[in-house]
Amino acid sequence: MSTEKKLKQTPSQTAGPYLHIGFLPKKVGINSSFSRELNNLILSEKTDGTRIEISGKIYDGNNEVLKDAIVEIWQVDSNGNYQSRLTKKNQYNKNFSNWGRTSCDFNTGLWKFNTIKPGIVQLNKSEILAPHIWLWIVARGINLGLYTCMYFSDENTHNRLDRNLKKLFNNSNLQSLFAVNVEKYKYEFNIHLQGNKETIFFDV
Amino acid sequence: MDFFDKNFHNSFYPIDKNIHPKSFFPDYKSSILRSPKKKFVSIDTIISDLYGNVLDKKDLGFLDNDLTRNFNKHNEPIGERIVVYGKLLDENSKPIPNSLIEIWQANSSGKYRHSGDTYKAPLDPNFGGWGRCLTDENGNYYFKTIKPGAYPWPNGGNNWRPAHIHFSIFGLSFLQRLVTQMYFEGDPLIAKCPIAQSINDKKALESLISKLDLNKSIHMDYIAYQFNIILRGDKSIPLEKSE
Ligand SMILES: [Fe+2]
Repeated sequence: MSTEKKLKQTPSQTAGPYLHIGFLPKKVGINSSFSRELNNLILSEKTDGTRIEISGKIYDGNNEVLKDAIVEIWQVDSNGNYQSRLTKKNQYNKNFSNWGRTSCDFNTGLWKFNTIKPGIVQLNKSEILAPHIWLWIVARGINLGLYTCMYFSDENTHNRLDRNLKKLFNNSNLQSLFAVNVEKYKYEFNIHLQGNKETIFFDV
Repeated sequence: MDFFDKNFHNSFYPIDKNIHPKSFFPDYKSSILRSPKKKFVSIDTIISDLYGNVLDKKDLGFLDNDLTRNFNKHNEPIGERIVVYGKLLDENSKPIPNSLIEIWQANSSGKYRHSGDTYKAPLDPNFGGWGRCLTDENGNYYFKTIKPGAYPWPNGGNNWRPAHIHFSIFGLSFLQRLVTQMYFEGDPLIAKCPIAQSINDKKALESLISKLDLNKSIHMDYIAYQFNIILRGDKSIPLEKSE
């Protein structure tokens, strides 16, 4: 058996300032022949689970808000399940896509998703993944898409048992991973690209 | 292998640090304030499968991959008519079927249909600059478009971007997500562009330069460029013997 990989990865390049044309064309007035834009389509009326809103801003090294970034999210459904190549057809959750995309507002920089609270994933008898949502960020000046993970500050019991968080208890920026419950069903998750509040980004 | 390993273990080969550009590359000024300074944290427990979740074949419009017609189907844009085609594979040479590829680009004069573009060049009323497609069962994709023009950009000097098409690629997992840019064979601006040069490895940069392919060109209609794309491979899938 060969242990050599056969091919080399295609390198990343920045998405640049005009990324909306490709990611969310309607946002820049390109409305023509396509039927379905991939904007914030993570859930439908039939989706099971507690509706939540998550939103935030992304700050650069001068504490300026980015107004041009694209954010994509990835999460399990309210029961802690996700769909995969291994999912049997009859277990498919047609009402939830696990994946969503939005952009920062051109004026305020705010990004926002309407989604459902993700469930707990039971890994084994003692370990879980607490409710969490993965985020992926691209923008001008970002040479390789950034991965970070949002946890819920009101889920302390579960967070303590989370397999990934356990390894991070000594990280001085651990707080950067917790979304703040600003009002009922609304969570704020701000991202800092640099500085003393720099968000923890992951090499996944 | 227990349930946990099979479903939640990140089984992808790591992101190759020698190939991808560094976050901080000061010749590209925008990266200075937007590059994280701390070391990224490695974790291996992640749910990442995107299978079937992003876009269905039925969601595609039939002109989605024809940029010469999908903005104004009655009139053709100005410019050199091209086909860009290739294969989407992983590091194990395994074709990636049914994966969404999105592209965006400037028109033939180097102007983007975007409120942020302040270059003097004109818009083309028949060109939007957006396209997408799903790879077929063998990982193949193609777009019909026009060759984008080079354009100047603010980076503290007389900087011109080489002609390029932006690509956004999904693969089968959230961990394979890739955004990149495709260049054109023979373009002298590639060697002078700080964004292209943010890639340190010469071979890696070459892999972003599409190859002219007269055999795939369509007589009196389109000239063809080939661009293959390689995403992270799944190391839990055993490789075949090389010989
Ligand atoms: Fe560009």
